[in-house]
Amino acid sequence: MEQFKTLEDLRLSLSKLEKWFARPVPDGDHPTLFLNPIPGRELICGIQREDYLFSLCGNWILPSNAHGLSFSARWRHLKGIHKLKSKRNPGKSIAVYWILEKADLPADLAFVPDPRDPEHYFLAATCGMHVRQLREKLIWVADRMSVIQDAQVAL
Amino acid sequence: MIEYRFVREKELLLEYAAVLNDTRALEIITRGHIDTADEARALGKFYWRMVDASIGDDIESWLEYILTTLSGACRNAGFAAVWDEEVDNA
Repeated sequence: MEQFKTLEDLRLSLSKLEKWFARPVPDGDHPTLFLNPIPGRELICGIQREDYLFSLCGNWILPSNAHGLSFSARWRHLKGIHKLKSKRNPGKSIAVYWILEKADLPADLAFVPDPRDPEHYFLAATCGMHVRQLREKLIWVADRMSVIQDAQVAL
Repeated sequence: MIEYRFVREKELLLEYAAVLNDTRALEIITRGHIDTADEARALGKFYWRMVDASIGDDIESWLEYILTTLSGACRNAGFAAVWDEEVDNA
C-alpha cells in the first residue's frame, strides 16, 4: 500500500500511472457508496439521488452520459477535491482511491467525460438497471480500486 | 459561461456571496460568465471563503458539485492557471 506525506508525493505517485480516474475519500468512508446518512441528502441504496438519473419511483437507474459518480481524471481537479475534503473533514486522513482507464468495468458502466470540464468524468450508467444492480456494480468497482493512503494525518 | 448541473449550486453561491458580502462574486455569478483573470481569481478566493464559512453546514456534496462547475468554467474561459493558484492558496 502506498502512502503520501505531501500533495507533491501524491502527484508524483499518480504521474507514474497511465490514464487514471480517482476519488479522494475521508478515512472510514466507502470509495463508491455513501453508507452513512447525510443530512439534507437523499440516499437510495447508498447512492446520492443527484448522482444518477433515477426513475420517478426511485427503483430504476436510467442511462445518461450527464450523470454518474464523480471522478477526477487529472491532477489539477483531484487536488481541488482533495483540498475540499481535507477542509471539510479536519483531523481525518483523506485517502485517494484510483483505477486505471484500461481496467475492466462491470457491464453497462463506463467513464464518460463531463462536457463542462475534461478533467472531470462520470462513472455513468450506459443502460437502464435496477438501483440494487447499480449498487452491486459500484461495490465491484470499489473492490478493484487501488488506494494511496494519506500518511501525514494518519501518523 | 458558468454551466451548472443543478439550480441549487447557483442558489448556494448567491446565498453565500450575500452572507460574505462579496459583491464582486455576486456580480460574476449573477452575470454567469468569467471575462478576466481577475474575475477568475475573485471567484476562486470567494469559493474557498465559502468552503471555510460553511463548516458545520451540511453542504459538502454541493460544494463538490460547485467546485467542478467553477473549475470547468475557469478552464473553459482560459484561466485554469489562476483557478489552480487559488486552490494552492486556500
